[in-house]
Amino acid sequence: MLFTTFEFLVLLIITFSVYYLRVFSKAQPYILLTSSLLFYGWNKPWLVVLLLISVLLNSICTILVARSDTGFKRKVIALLGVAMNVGFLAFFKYNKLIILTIFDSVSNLSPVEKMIYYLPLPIGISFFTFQGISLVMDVYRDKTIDFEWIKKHPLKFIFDTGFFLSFFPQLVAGPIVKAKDFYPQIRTKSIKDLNWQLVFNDLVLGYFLKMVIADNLKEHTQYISYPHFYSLSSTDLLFMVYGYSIQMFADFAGYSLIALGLARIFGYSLRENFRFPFISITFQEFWQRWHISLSSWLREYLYFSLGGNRKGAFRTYVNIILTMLIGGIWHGASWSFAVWGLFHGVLLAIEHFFRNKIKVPAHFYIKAVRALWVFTGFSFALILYRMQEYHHVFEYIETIFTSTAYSLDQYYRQFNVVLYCIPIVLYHLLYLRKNRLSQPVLSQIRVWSYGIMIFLLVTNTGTTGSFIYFRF
Amino acid sequence: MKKSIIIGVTLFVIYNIALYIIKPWHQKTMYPYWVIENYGKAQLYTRPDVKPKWVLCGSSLTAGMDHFLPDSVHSLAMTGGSYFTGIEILNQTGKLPAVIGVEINMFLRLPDVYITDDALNPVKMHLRNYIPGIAAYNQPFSFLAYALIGTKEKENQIRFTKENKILNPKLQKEHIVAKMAEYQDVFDSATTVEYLDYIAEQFKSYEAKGTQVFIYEAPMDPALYHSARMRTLRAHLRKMPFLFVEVPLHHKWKSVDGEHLIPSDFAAYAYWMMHKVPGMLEQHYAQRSE
Repeated sequence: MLFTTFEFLVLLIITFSVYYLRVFSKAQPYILLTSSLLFYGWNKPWLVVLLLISVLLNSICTILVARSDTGFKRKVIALLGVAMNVGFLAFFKYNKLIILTIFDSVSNLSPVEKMIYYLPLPIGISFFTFQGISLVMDVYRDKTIDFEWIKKHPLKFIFDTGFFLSFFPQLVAGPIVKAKDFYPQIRTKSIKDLNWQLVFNDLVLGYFLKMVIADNLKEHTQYISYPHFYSLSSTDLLFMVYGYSIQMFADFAGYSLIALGLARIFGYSLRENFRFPFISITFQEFWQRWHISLSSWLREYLYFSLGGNRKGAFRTYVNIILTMLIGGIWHGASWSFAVWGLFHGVLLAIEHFFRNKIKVPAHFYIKAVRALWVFTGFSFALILYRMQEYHHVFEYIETIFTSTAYSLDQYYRQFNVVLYCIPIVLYHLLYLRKNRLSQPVLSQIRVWSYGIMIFLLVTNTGTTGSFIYFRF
Repeated sequence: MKKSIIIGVTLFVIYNIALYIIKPWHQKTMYPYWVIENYGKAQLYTRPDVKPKWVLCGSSLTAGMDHFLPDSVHSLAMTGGSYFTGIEILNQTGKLPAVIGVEINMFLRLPDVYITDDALNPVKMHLRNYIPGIAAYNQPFSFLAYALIGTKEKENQIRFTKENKILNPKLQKEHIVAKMAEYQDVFDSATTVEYLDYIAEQFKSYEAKGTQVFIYEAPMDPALYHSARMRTLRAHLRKMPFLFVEVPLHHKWKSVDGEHLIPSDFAAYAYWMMHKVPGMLEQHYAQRSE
């Protein structure tokens, strides 16, 4: 079910109406659990079975970790839990990649191998398996989740885990929620505690980013595909690279904001996933602002587990590159995603190397050039998302410099790309300037911006498309 | 929150009043991209005040002519789709023009249900008539682009002057080679007959209500024109009792990618159709009445 569909609206209204009834106050998590399972299995009911298996295995593993009396036993069970989640992900998400890497061709596969190869990708699996790992690891590391409580109430814990892994606002495309942040929030909620202003802000901005910006831009950037790009002019190709970057931001940040707003409606607070990423002047800063829930997950559960920066300079660089490489593969079952991750890992390692060696003046124009460099680097790397053949990516970049073509409707297309990018640029500029504006002016800008967004949501939405991050 | 909602609603009301006064849908607009164009063209046809003399149903091979057709022609040609979507809209609305032209190049493509569901949904249809601001053909950003970038005529002038740059030999070759493989595949005979029977049935019902109909094959690259698929299809169409407008000077048309003509050829074919087909129709129906 998509956040932008009528069915979802009906589900949301029914869930909300029942959720805050006083008679059901004790059953609130179960109401959300039921709605979440309906939301997830609406088009493909078999997905619910898969999710429930993941819930059950993660719950059992976590209970065993909590009940283990020796450190070694806990470590072994926790590792098994992590391996189980990774195996789950590998089996359903990387089946094609692994089989093609080993066997080279689908035609030579045995019937069983073929069956595994053609298994469809369960939507949201990358997100709920990472949350499963966070649960096992948080309990193993003794982070805020009450051991004794888990031991005493195993059945309630299984239901809570079901709720944690399936909570519909963040189930299919994040933000990735950590167990230690979520479990303490599971309690009876009251409608009086709702902050409607925040709900309104998140939902209007989220839906605007998705339905007005991303859904319209996607039709213009679809030409980043082989061999269509040959028919386009240099400026068209360049506009599309930057346009796709903005589209990706609007799509994913939009989804995350909708998730935040929906979670708020039910009294849950999720961490923000994007914090104005395009003002970043280093790649390190960029990854602290872009897909924050994934970056912090990778840092906490992978980078630190590998040793972080505690084992010398060389290991630090290796750890950074390895973390980003795995982060890249997490995005999709294709080696091009690994290359994309590697690219970012190498850039981060280089930045880390020069961090204390070169002092860059903090002048406004220098900062602007650095921000443009980070934006350009990120945008060009994103071509790998659209074209999985490396030589097509290189040919695309080469065509930017060599094309003499005139594309049909090129001025019109470029104008449209710029038009839909302007709100994102203003959004970032306003954030940069907010300290220089007086509170009344800022408040007026906000009021008018949200008013205009509501107007455009009714009049200027693009064609409904699924969220880009659904396929991850 | 309240102030923002009031601003949003006020803007929407003002916008709708402006649309009521200007009625921009009576002029051809520039759509931001083809998907919105498909929705816009379909929705527009369901308006009671849109009463064209001609309707063309087809695919992008006809949609490319939209810029060059007179205002009396309403195009229900759907990029990425086929004549089926247009026929579905004609049937469901029951609104028939004086002449219907059906392009058959994308012969087996079924109707686009997203477009027909949206355009023909009775609730949405009525809402669009009373609240024009929610229609795809009235998107404010389209008008903004139209106002700032220029008119259809300006765009056409640019298209013609830059035509040599549109032709990319590498892309053209790759496309034609790929398309040739596809066009060698002849449609299954039974399915073809089934589809032709359906078209004939529709045409008879249109003619019974006084509408003239014709089938036409949009020009393509000569290689595709001579392909097995098109030759077989053409043979079937010649046997039908309706006017079949064959491609004039089929070896002369230039395409960008094998299927879609260059702008000046789209313009030339639109001009040819508007000047030649009325005479052909007159002659055809005169012969049939004899």
